[in-house]
Parts: sequence; structure tokens; C-alpha cells
Amino acid sequence: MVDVVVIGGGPAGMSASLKAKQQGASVLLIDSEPRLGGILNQCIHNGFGLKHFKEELTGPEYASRLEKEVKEAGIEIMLNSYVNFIQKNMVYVITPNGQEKIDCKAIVLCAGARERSAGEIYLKGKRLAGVYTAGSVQKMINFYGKLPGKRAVILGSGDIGLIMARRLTLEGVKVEAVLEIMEHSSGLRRNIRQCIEDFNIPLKFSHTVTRVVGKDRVEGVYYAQVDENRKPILSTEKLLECDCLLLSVGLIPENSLLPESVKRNKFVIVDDERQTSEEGIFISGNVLHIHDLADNATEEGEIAGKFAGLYSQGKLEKFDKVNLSFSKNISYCMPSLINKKNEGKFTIYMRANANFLKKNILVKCGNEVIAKKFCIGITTGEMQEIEVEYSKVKDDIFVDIEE
Amino acid sequence: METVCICCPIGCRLKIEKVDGEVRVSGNSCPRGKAYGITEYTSPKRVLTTSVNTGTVTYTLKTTDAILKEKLFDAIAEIKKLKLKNYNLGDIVIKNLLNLGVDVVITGVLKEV
Amino acid sequence: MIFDYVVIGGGVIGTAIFNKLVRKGKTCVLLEREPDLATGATKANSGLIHAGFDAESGSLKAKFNVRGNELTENLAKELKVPFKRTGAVVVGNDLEKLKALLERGEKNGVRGLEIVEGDKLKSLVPNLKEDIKYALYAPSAGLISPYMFAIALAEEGVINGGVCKLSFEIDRVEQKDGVFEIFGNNEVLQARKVINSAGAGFNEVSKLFKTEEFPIKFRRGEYIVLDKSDFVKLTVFPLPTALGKGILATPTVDGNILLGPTAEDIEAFNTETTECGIDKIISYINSTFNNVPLNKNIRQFSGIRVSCGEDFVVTESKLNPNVILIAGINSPGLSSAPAIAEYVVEELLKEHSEDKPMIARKGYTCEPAGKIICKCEKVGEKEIENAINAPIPATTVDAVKRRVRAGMGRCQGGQCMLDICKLIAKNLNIELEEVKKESAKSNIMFKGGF
Repeated sequence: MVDVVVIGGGPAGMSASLKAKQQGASVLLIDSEPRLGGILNQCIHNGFGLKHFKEELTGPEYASRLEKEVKEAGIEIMLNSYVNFIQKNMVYVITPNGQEKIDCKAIVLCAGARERSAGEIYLKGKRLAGVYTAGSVQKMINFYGKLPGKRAVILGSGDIGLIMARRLTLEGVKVEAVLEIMEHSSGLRRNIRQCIEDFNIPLKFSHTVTRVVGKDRVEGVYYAQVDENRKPILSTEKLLECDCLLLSVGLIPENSLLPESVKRNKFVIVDDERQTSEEGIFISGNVLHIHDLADNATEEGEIAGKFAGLYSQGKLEKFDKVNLSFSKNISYCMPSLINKKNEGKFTIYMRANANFLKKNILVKCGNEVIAKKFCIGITTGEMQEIEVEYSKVKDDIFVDIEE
Repeated sequence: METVCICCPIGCRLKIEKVDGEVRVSGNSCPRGKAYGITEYTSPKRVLTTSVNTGTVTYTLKTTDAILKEKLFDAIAEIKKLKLKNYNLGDIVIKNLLNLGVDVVITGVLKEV
Repeated sequence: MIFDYVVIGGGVIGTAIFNKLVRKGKTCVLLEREPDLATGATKANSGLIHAGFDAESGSLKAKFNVRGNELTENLAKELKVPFKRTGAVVVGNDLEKLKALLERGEKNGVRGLEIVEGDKLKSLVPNLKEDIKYALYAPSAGLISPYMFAIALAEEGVINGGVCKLSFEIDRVEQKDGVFEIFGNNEVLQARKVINSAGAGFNEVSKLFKTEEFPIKFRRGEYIVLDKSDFVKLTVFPLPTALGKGILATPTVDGNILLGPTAEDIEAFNTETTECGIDKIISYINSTFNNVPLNKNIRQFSGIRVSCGEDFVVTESKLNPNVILIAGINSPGLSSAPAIAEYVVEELLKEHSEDKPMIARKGYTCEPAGKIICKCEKVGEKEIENAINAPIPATTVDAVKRRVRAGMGRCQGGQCMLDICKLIAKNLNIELEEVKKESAKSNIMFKGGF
């Protein structure tokens, strides 16, 4: 019997464990890999930690900082262990030696995300060796020192795609092009600068791969410009010779472990404490929604861990909840339920539906503006956040981006 | 010139120009951005990260500071020559890489990869 | 040694015949030119054991299908290959055509056929569009994993004394004193009789043995695979057309949903998927069903059905009586496989002895299964190693996938492909960069450049 089981030892899971422990709870942290850190271990580039550690770190450094804290805090760690099934107060684990049932009082799911596959985007043509998700190539190069080919095309300009364009180039692979179906990149601006422009890699917006060709391995891809409905314009189709195609076409929260009864809309519905509709099951990090930065996932893990720790000891105070809704300028907000507390602050995270220049993010309760933040530039690729005081939340709240 | 600051995820849009022999940076929102802008105008530098797999252990590495952009490929070739064994996180494995004034340090040790 | 038989082609037909010959106590070698079995038509079809109402009465297809359906269940049980008799329906509003199908089915010897409508139809296919009123229900139709069936047939054959040679490319063939000498892979195999079950490669093999070649046509069928769901609980066909049985929706024996196939005549063997094919499937399925879980789409593939005329060709060569020719095995080839094997071995080759008792294959699952490698399908390290070290070793990523389903789930190997490569390399004692996806030249990765 343990108070809190945290599933997933990436940044969210480690910080959740730490915070739960700080509340006085006993904590078991489970990960399916032989080490903590999750995907951070393969993200060997720098740019992590400015927010959380106030210092620029590489992925593995960021992971080992948190790991050190976890170990010093005396958190129990279970590695190489796959959580098969969860229900309230119960976690079923498959360890290398067999199955185990673990009783607990609260669960924090921090299982991260997976990459969208070729099948999920209906990639046409052959299913050949040489078509990989960007993340698996990242692991191929950074863990094993192997290469996916000599001439690469990258589909999708999210951050992983951009980072891999640079990584491949530095390892001697020629990146023939990065193709992006949208009119803009969903990656960070600085990554376009330092990963693409630094190496003069062609980045083609409004373009996609129409066909993968080859016999045993990829020998080329056909690509074309897309129209406003993102359908390829076949008259623009061209062949690009290459021997591998990397897919960086989005991350999908890996939340299949959650019981069916947990309420969802586009995402799993959580309150500001990151508790799901099933009491005692909390969720944070990329398994909830996709974060731009490990630092943000860490921060969210802390929220979930703290309240799971309190809950597990019967110390979590209950409040009435209000709903959070948002305008059509916003694609989603996190969280979607707010506890009506009397003091302190909470943060609303959101992604915009379009790019905006010099706009305000407004949080309204009825007609009253209860929080306001001016932003010079808002892009679809970058998560926005705004702090709100609990005491101002009297009723349902509404978030908007406007003049 | 116009560029994007790479110091942090905000990615400020910088305008850098030389006025009366002095490099001026605008658009930055912190002092790091200003310093970056000046270097970018005169001699662009980047931090290099890479990894070395020894068969059983993978070491991830970085330069302790940014190095001249045009030296990135020479630097990575130099690092790949390393035969690493029994190093720990934080150990310096190359001192003064290619006389660029930076060291190469271990950022991660991955066993059982 | 001189083998009694050589079977060429490791698809479900070749493996079924190989298995049957071993059961008859014959010495037999199975040759496959790819690194794994079941890599042609066998790996890319609907995975159905048809009831047998569709084929023209009196045809080989009708005869073998109905008999094959009867044989498959027990055979699958023996081989420890999952088989589910879930049934099938043909849906439509043309009651006359459905009745004609029912009559044909009864004539073919299919049992249990009935026309259903109303609540019964609704309970069989809850997601069927309301404007589709009738169905022919065939409870004897079933589901099997076609590649696992073929692999298990061959594996059991090997455990019981048969020989299987993968990656075996035949260079030339000679015949001396009634014995074939087959040269390839730096060795010579001797055998008295040959079964050409090379599928799409039939004519190439026929050339080597100087036997009949047939005009072979290729028809491509594209499919969409959905992640596991209960969208349909049995196979749902539209009314058949001249091009085939039409686009169906079916569960697979493993619980996925399969939508397809299209039917497109093509000039040369080409397994590409196309915009047009995929769109066709989606629009047809959306017009027939409600609540199509297309958001669970995880993969598309296409399979090639070869044909030489309307019916199967299963016959002795007129040019060389020691060669059995099996060609044009398209649908219902999988359903017919055990019956074709029975016919070839007992009728054509006149091996009438009782089947000998067989040593059972173990399969790959185990408890504990080891560290979970494929998280989507929950496949353990030890299970993957069992497949790699099996009597017919899985030496490629796709071979592992076919046997234990590692990489078959929603992430399609995105998370576990490299771990599987590592396990293959470790168990075969080869370098990571030598690991292949499927064919001999399909290397997954290369050595770093420095």
C-alpha cells in the first residue's frame, strides 16, 4: 500500500512525485523504461530548464537534475515496469518478473505522448524501410549512433522535426527539405532560426508528401503544394529523391490507460488541481495536453502531484467548481474546471486558433474582466498562459483574445 | 539585419544594425538578447550537442559555451573521435576544443541503451 | 538426401501443402525467397474464412472454400492460431439478389444461411445505416490471421521433420533420372516432385521447371486498418459485383477493424496505396455505416490478388507430371488453403496414408513475458525473443510483428521499432544496421558517418 502512484518518470512524473512527497505522502514512481527521464534522455540538445532551473540545460541534464531530487527525496522507483490497467485506488503493473497489483490512494498519470504515425495521416504509396517518426530517428541517432539514411526529407515542422533537421545535418545526412502542410510552422521561432536557417535547409510551407516510392527502402517521395483545404494540388507534384522520410506530424496524448468513465471532450477534462472526473485520478504533462517545453510539463506535474498528495491523505479541501469556456479564437484552454477557492492564484494555459499581433488575453467572469494580459505576438504554435486570482472567480469564466 | 533570438523559447525578433561603428540591437526583451544580437552580427556562435555510443553506454555531450558556427562540423568530427570509458555526468572530455576556448562536457550517461 | 517433395512458395497455400505432406510422413522442403513466410498475398488480405456462398457452384473455388471452412477450425486449434467463427452478412436492399446468393450458397453446401431483416439485422450490425433493409446471414464465416496461419502451418511442419529454407533464391533447375536438382544459395537440393505455389512468382518458377506459364493478372485491393473497437462484430459485405466481393467492414481475429478492399486492375505488381483508393473506401463505408471510428485509423495497406481466369488452377503439369501447378489463388484462397492442400496431397499426389500424429508447436506467448516492449499491444521481451528463436526464426522487424503483434498497435512501432531491432540484433548476433524491415535489402538504419 502506497499513498500515491505516479505513472511515468518524465519531467511531469518526476515533479509530480516530488510534490506529492512534499505533502507527506508515500510515493511510488513507475516507468516502463530502464531509466527515469522519459523522452528528455533523447533530447540531447540544449534549451531546457530556463524556466524551472533558471539555467539552460540539455534534455539529459534536465532529467538528471530532477532524478537526483527524486532519489534524494526517498521516492520509491519501479523501472522496466509497464502499467497495464488502472482503476480507483489500484494499479496493475507488468514487471519483467510478472504481474503485480498495487493498492494506492491516488494516481497521477504522467505517461506522456506518442508520435502520430504514417497511417494516421494516410501517407500514400509504399510502406518501406526508411519511413520513421522523427522521435524514433532521434533515438536511433542519439542512443545508438545510427543513421536512417543519407538523404532525408522531413514532413512536418513541429519542434521535433526542426530539431531533427539540424541533428541529421550535423551527423552528415543531407536534409533535402522540410515540408509543412500548414502555412506556418507549429515549432518555436528560435528553432526555425537555429535548426533550419542556420543550415540553409529548404522549408516549404503549404506542401505535403503525396506518395512514398521505392522497392525495398525509400527511394524518393512525391510532394505537392496543398490548397486551402490542405488537399494536394496534383499539377504541382514533384519527385524528391531521398532515402528516408521523417514524420513530425504531431503528438497524441497516450491516455489509453484512463478508465472509460473519465470524462473527456477534446482532451481529458480536469480541474485546476489536474484531477479528472474520477476522484483520486490526476493527470499532467503531455498525456493531458502537448506542452511546448519540458519546463511547462514539470510545472503541471507539480500541480497534479501536490493535490494528489493532499488527496491521498484526506487533506484535499472540496470546493464548488465553475466551468471555463473560451472564444473561437482559442483552440483549447487548460484546465476546464476551476475550484472556487478564496485565496491564491491559478494559471490558465491556452493555444490560439490563429496568429495574432498585439492583442489582449482576457478572462471574464460575467461582464467583469478578472484577468488581462497584453501579448505582442500570439502564434498557434506557442502556448499562452495567464494568471488569475481565485478570489475573483465567482461564477463560470470565459477566455478570449481580443483588442 | 533581422533575426530571431535563440536564447530562450520566447524567440524575440531582433533588429541589428551598425550605427557609427557601434552594433545596436533592438527588439530584445532582456540583456542576453542584446549580447546575442551583437555576437550574431559579428561572429555567430552556437552551442554544439551530440552523442557518442560506445556499444554499451551512450554519452551525450555539449560544448560548455557557444562556438563559431562555421566550426560546428569540424567540432563534431573531433568529438566523434573520442573513445569514451567510465565517465560521469559533468566530466570534461575535451579541453579547449579545436582551440576555440570551450570544453566538451558529458551531459548524460545512458547505460543499457 | 533426396526429398520426396519440394514446395516452392511460403504463402498460406505452400505452407498448408508442406504441412500436409509432413503429416503424411513424407520428406519435404519448403522454399521461400523472402526472409520470411507469408510476405505476398498471404500477408495482405481480409483475413476471412468465407462461408462459401459467393463462388460459382461447381467451381474449384466453391468446392475448396466450403471444405476449407470445415477444416480450418480444427487445424487452427491444433496449431494454436486464433480463429473465431463470427459469421458474415451481405447487406443490401435487392432481396432477389440476396436470395439468389442464398440459393447458390445452399447449392455449394454452406449451412445455416438465412435472410435477416429488422431487429435481427440491427442486432447483428448495430451501426448499419437504417436505409439498408436486408442481409444474407452466414454464421459459418470466420476470422483468422492469415500470416500467422501460414507461419504456424510451416512451423509445425518443421517441428515434425520438414525443412524450411527462407531467403532461398533458385538459380536453376536440372532433372536427372527422375530427380530434380535445384541450385540456389550455394547448395543443391534434390527432390522427386515439385509443387509450384509461388503466387505472384508462379511464372518465374514455371520457367525454371519448364512447365506451363499462365497469363497472370494483378488486381490491387487497398485497405484501412482501425485500432481495436467493436464497430462491427462480424464481417459485413455489400452485394458482390463483377469486380469482387466489394468493400467490406470486418473485425480481425485480433480485434482490429479492417475496411476494404478496393478492386483495381493494375499492370504490374505494385502495393502502393493511393489517394483515390483510400477515398473510395472512406466514402463507401460512410455511406453504409453510422459511427465509423475513422479517428482510430492506424494504417493502410494494399494487397495484390493474382488471377489467371475465373477459377483457381490446381492441377498436375501436362509438360512434366512431377510438377503440381497452383495458380490464380485469389479470394477465397485463404479459406480454401487446407482444402487445396488436402486435394493436392491426397488426390493429385495420391498420398493416401493416415495423417501421422504431430508434435504441437509451442507458440511464442509466455508468462512472465518479460519487460513490455510493444506498449500498444503489450508484447513482452521474452515473447519477441521466442519468435526470433522459433523453429522458423523471425529475423526481420515485420516477421516479429506478424508473429507477436509487436508494432501492430496504434503507434505502429513508433515507440518500439528500435527496441525490436535491438532484440533481433542481439539474438541473431548481428549489428543493428544489418536488421531488416522485410525484404533482404530493407535495412532499417545505417552506421553513423564519422
